[in-house]
Amino acid sequence: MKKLRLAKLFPGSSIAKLTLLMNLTICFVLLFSLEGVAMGSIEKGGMSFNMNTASEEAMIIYDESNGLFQGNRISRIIKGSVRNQKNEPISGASVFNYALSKGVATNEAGEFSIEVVSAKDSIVVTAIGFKEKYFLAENRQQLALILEIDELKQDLEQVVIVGYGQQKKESVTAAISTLSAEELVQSPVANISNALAGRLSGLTAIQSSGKPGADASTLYIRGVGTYTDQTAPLIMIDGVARDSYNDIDPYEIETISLLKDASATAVYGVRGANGVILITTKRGKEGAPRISLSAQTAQSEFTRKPNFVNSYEYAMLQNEKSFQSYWINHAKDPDIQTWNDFLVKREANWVREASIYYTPEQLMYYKNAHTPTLENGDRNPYYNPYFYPDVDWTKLIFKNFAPQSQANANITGGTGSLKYFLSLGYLTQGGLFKTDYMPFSDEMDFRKDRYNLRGNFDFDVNKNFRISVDVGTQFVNISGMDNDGYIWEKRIMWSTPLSSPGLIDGKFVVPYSNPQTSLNPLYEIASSNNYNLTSNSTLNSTIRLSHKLDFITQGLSVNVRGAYDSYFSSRSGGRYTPVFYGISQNPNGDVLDPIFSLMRAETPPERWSDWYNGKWRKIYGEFTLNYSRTFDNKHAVSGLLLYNMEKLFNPYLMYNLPKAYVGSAARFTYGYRGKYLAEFNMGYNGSENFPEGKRFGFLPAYSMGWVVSNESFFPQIDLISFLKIRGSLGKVGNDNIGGARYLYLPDVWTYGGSGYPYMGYSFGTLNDRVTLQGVQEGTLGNPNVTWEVATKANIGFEVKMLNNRLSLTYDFFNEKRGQILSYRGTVAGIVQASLPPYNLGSVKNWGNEFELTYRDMLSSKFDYWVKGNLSTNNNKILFSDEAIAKGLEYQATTGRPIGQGLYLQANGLYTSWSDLYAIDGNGDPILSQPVAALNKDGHTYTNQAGDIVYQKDLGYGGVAVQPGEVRLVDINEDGVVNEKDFIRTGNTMIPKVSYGLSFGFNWNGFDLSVLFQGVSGAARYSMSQLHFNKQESLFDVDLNRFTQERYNNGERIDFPIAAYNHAGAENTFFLKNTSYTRLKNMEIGYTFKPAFLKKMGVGSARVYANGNNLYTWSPNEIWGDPENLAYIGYPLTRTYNLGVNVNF
Amino acid sequence: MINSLLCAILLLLISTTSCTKNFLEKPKGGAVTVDTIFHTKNQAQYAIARMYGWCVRGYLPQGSTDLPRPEILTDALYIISPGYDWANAGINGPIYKRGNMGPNSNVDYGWGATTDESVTGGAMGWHYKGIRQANIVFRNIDMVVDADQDWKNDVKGQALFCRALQHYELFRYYGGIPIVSVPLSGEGEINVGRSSVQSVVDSIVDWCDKAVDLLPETRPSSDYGRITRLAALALKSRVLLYAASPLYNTPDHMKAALSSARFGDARDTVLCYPVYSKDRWKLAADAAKAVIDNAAAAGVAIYNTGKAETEPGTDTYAGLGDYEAVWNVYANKELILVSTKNQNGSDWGANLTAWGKFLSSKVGEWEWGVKNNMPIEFMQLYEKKDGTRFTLPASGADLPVDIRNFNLDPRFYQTVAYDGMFFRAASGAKYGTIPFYKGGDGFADGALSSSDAGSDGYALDVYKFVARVDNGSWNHFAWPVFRLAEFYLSYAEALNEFHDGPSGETYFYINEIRKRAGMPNKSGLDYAGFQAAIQNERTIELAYEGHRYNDLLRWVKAHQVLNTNLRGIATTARRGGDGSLKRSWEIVPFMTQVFPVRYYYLPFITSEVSKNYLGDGAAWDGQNPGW
Repeated sequence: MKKLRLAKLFPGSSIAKLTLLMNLTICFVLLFSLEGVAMGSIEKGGMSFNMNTASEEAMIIYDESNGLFQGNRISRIIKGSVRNQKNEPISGASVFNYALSKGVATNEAGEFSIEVVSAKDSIVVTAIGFKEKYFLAENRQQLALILEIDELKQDLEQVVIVGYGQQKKESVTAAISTLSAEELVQSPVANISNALAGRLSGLTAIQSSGKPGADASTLYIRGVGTYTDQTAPLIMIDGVARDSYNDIDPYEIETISLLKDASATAVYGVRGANGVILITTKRGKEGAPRISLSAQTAQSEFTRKPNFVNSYEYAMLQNEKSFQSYWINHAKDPDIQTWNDFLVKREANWVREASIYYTPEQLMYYKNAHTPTLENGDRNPYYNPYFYPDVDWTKLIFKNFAPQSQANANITGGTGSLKYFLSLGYLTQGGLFKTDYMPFSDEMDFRKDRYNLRGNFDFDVNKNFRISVDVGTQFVNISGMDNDGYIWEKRIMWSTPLSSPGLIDGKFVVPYSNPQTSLNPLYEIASSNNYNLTSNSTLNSTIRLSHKLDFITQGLSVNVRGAYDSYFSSRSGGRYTPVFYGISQNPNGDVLDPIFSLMRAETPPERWSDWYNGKWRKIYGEFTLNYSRTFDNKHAVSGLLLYNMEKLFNPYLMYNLPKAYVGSAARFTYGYRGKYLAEFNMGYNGSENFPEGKRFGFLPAYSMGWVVSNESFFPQIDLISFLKIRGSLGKVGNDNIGGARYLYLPDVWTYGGSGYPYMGYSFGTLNDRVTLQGVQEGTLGNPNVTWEVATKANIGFEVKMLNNRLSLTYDFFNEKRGQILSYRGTVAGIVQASLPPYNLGSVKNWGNEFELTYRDMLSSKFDYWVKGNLSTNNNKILFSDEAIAKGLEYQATTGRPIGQGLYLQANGLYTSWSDLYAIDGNGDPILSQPVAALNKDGHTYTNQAGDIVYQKDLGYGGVAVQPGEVRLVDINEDGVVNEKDFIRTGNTMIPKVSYGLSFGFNWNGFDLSVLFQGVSGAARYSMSQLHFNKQESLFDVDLNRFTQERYNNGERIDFPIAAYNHAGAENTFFLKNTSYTRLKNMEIGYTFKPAFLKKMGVGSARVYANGNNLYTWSPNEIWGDPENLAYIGYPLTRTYNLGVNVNF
Repeated sequence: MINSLLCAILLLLISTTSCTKNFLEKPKGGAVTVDTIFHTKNQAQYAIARMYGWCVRGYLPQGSTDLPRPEILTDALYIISPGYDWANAGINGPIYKRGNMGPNSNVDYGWGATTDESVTGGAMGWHYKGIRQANIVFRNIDMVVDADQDWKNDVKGQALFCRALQHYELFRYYGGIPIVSVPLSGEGEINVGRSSVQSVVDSIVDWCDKAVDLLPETRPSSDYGRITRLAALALKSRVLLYAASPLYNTPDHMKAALSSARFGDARDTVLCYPVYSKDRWKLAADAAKAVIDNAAAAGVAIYNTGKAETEPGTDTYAGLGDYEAVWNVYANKELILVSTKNQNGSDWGANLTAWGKFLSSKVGEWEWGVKNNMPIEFMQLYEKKDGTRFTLPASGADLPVDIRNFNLDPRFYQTVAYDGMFFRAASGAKYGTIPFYKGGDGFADGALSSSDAGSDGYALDVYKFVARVDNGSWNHFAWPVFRLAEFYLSYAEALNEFHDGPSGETYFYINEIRKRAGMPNKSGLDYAGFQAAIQNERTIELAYEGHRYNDLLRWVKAHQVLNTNLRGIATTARRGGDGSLKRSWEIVPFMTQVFPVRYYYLPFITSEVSKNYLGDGAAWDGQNPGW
């Protein structure tokens, strides 16, 4: 037998070249008319080129001996099926008879029929990702084969999306983590960033608000490497920088790659310093159309909402504070010589001097605010809920649950020349504020509705030329109040349970005697907020043309990509100021029949028409040459040359001028026999921010890998089947500092509007006053400004063990950011010019990352898996230009972690008078015998004047201390605790350790997965809103305050005394550990495929229930959710979700 | 045909790269440079307006800032109880009053503790921001092509004045400060340390003298608010008066009191003159006399229509006494220079978030707001109308009646709103008679009983510069930077000091002021007696106009006056014999105010001290003593 190669359809190469030229022409047409009007010419071109596609591989078998095509041999057919260990059919598996050199592929049901001629025919069955299987024909008629998954191969053959391309996992030498679509859609969240927490090593996600439309997490890759707040990673969607990624429907996403080290990010040069996240959307696959429908609906609630004290507790705590304040105000009075003097004076005066004091009678009223009748059925004389109210505002302000629903329909499929993926998505997310008591209750409701539409198309014009067109759009509508930060900070925090009765018969009421509307948070929320309806539309469109240039040299291809993105946002709003009533006592004496007096004239509601709220458009063009070829089965070579440019038009940019980027990148990789890998990446980019000559930066990265397990000396054992060691070293840059632009430009003046402090000035008298706008010098220029450069080193290994069931990845990284673009901190204040950023500062950033996966299958019906990741990151400022006073070096940021706060050092609380004074026989302090303070060495010490320092004098700013006050450390041992005793200490908001642990199983159609996620080494200051601060809300944590009695009884103490010193509150007692472990996600599903569904054309259907943020373990739970400590802002939410997914 | 392919690629590259040369270049437009600004009068006037905005500042709480009245530092004002510090946190008032001020909580009234990314160095930075703008205007104004030399000279005079005024502002807080008379570059080392008191005073006087030569005598009404020649004379007089005063020109017998505010070595030149000289009082007197003598030519005179008292029960201009009229009648003839910034309608107007309205009184907005309580320690500085001293009884049965019966200096009743006083015509639930009282005898708390911290019944709320007449319009207020009465009193004070006792001329100027106020003449006093009289007169006449703090400092009296218990009057409702509401009152404690001697000179903010340019560049970092 002999293979005969059919003649090429068109001999000679001139036509091929001609068609290429035509193809390129089309490239140009398409690139320069992005509106897509040239679609018609694609069709034309496609038809004419199709003719040369079949040329190369078409073969037939010809039996030379008889000159006939095969046919006269006696043969028979073996029918069989190929299934995996889960008994699922494997389609497309190859079944090949060596004897006949003839093969078939299995159909969708995994079935095949293959011809055999003898019982000795040897047949091999192969399928990608499975171990191959041989059998002899023998006498078989029917055969069922089970293929075992080849874990190693499946995994290593997998492609990883890397910058501007993809690589086989086996040959990757950079530090990259990936996340699959499957895991992404498990989180019932309204934006992508919130689904990432705990899933990827090296990623820290911090969510600080749960407000619909503003609940995205801030992402950090490998922590932070700069102190300038320019820490956001670059987000690339399908190869184009797009930071509006959060509203992409997760069902559109195929994979997410996290590029961490220099080798992975160098091609992004200027913008890669903070790492890169690559989001790749799904594309069509050849085959019949597959339709997938998903719908889910959820209820969300706050993970933790503030618990306020009731009126009685509130009044009691305020009295306690007033009582304790007497010591603070009078401890140093000259007439107080003994404790007894003090007791006498306090007894006589404290009530009179109290800022707030509630009489015993008032306390009785508050205690009985919910008890209308006495036990004997009589009217309770102390029941007076209108004038002594006890209102639980949280119940009135918040809903318990808010709905959230999501639906997606997508279809994917394709033929040889057209592949498509189309997706339609919808999300609606409700808010947790009650709005039914206000006008415009729908508009005031925090709510987000999102519509997603995406179509990704690949046209194979011919075998060598592919045109891909991607269009993705997001329409987001957000409603709600415009002032919600103020709702939290002021309305809720300022409302006390006894401030006003709130709503009575639909009327907003406040006490007539004190008609301050701030006493009624419901009224304040309703009246002082506008409603806002925001509509955002985002369009991401890309066209990519790729042409293989194999006729020049094997493995060469050329790609052109053009993208056009646009965004438009508009907003409308309105407001309504309802009337409110003053409530006063009825002269008839019936406290339950109050008089309402209208306090405000009715005003008509306002509705404002739309206004433009923001817009931008961006044009991106890219040209790449790719090369990839393996020589002699030994030398694998690939290369990439790229040139791109981008222009962003956004009227909000400084000077209203468009922003430009231009750059080029290259990558060369070399692999020898799959054992030795080497890679070179580089970016050469320009930024508009720098002057000519310093504008372009060259940022190279080198990496190497050694696949030890491919060495011949490496034993072929199940214990370790794969081992790769890799390392990289390189540079990436940053050109960005806030919104500042053209940093080299000198002396730009800016006109001022009416802002603070008033920019203009007016002259003239009352009748002829003219107001002139102001103009002032802007930022001066720095003609020498240039790139900020991060030098990043990474070393890691990947290992697969225990017959591939266990895989482990480890990375260590060490980065140094230098020439950090930042402002000088040592310029004398008498200059008062706005100085430009300079290349100052340097930061070191290092850490470790582990990833672990264990998968096993106990039977065909049960398999399970465990995955874990753990990342640590540390940083240290090596230099920042800051002014530090002599002797206060411990307050410098240099040498400390980024963002480390300045706090007074707390050393617990004073727990008894004996900490401060000698104690007499009655246990009372002897004021004339104060306890001497001890210094670090445990000795008494003296102040500058040479006097012994007493513990009682170490209140902040010299304020008198008493048991229950925070015990502050006199850091510089000068005998007073003041601003010089602040030190940089403690953890920051950015956790040092982030981890995720997930596990799950599949059994008989059931599946379960559980994700735990957590951080440690993080802290937040819990008193940015002071407690016991004027007439503000008090929380459950305040009930756990120190009192001598509570302490002596061993009760839990979470707070110092009510009368703690506000001025010294910035101490580490209130720097709370915000480590946590969350049951972040749990999902239970059941997949069923009964026959009746099949008749309806349904391939499979799955129902599931899942939840997000289900439970949180954190050490300071009483202070609120660790990511929303002390309830600053809209709290985070927990979600319970039910969903169904049907595939056709 | 590989060539054709390469051509195609090349074509593509060229088409993209051909524009890259300029691709990253900043497109034309969008940015304005100093040449554009100082090219035409029209543009330059915006830079001048900005200079005024930074330099000619009022101290009335403004717009969205959270600054209280400057008197918060003194015995003239007490805001809420100590537990509620936030209301005057913008100036660190409570920290200051309890003796806890530190370098980073100093009370320099720049824009207080408020920071702005373009301003460094804390509150001190705001002064230098204004100085920089003045220096830029001064340096560049000659570039304007469409203006004549007179106009340019006028602008230069204004710039010199602004530079001088902000140096004076720094001087009055810190003592000797770095003198900056050119726009400094941020590059390289700055070798401009603190100058001696003598140099600072001499520089300010020199700039004022130059400005006097450049500035016009009067201006058209459409230019009201612009600096005139008389304003420059006034600034010179103020500075020379300060320079002659004991804090800087310290007689030997007062040195001991200040010892802990002094280094006791050569560094003291930044705090005071090395040697006392009585002649400095002569300079001060002459400078004050120059203001008085030049007033008429500028159209400035004491506002005296012979109506000493405000009629109770009215809220019209016509009902105002002359003293109250001086701060209510816009552009009246007594004003030498005002900050016209304050009166901008949009700053005060519809925008109810304007904190100033709520911080400067309780009665102004008649709702949420901060009572600006007058302590009785200050109240007792008001003489009785017959010129005798007044001491408040411990309690009384009916405050509005009692307080009228005290028969105090008419200026008291034109400054303080007391419980039960008619404030302005009622409008809906607002205004009318002031209800500050706490409830009692079946009466509920008065609507304004609380200062945000529960009802306190505090009964004296300062209402100077608070809208009352003209339907409560805030529009007609303009903070007086200088008004003529000040210089009458300065002149009398300096003469008494220089001549060791009062003369006829001395009495004339104090009595002119007393006459307008409806108070009897002073006469027959010795040196010390007149000193006490003139100091008290100044305290009362210029109350709540930003003088008290510096007057107490320069007289070296702050450590005596401000180490004190501040007390107030609180009222409680009582049912009178006829069943009507009576406001019984008693004295209640406010707080214990502390004034350590080191307070005489404010500390520089730590961040500036650590830059180590203020001092001698060696051992001394430039910080004031005791900090």
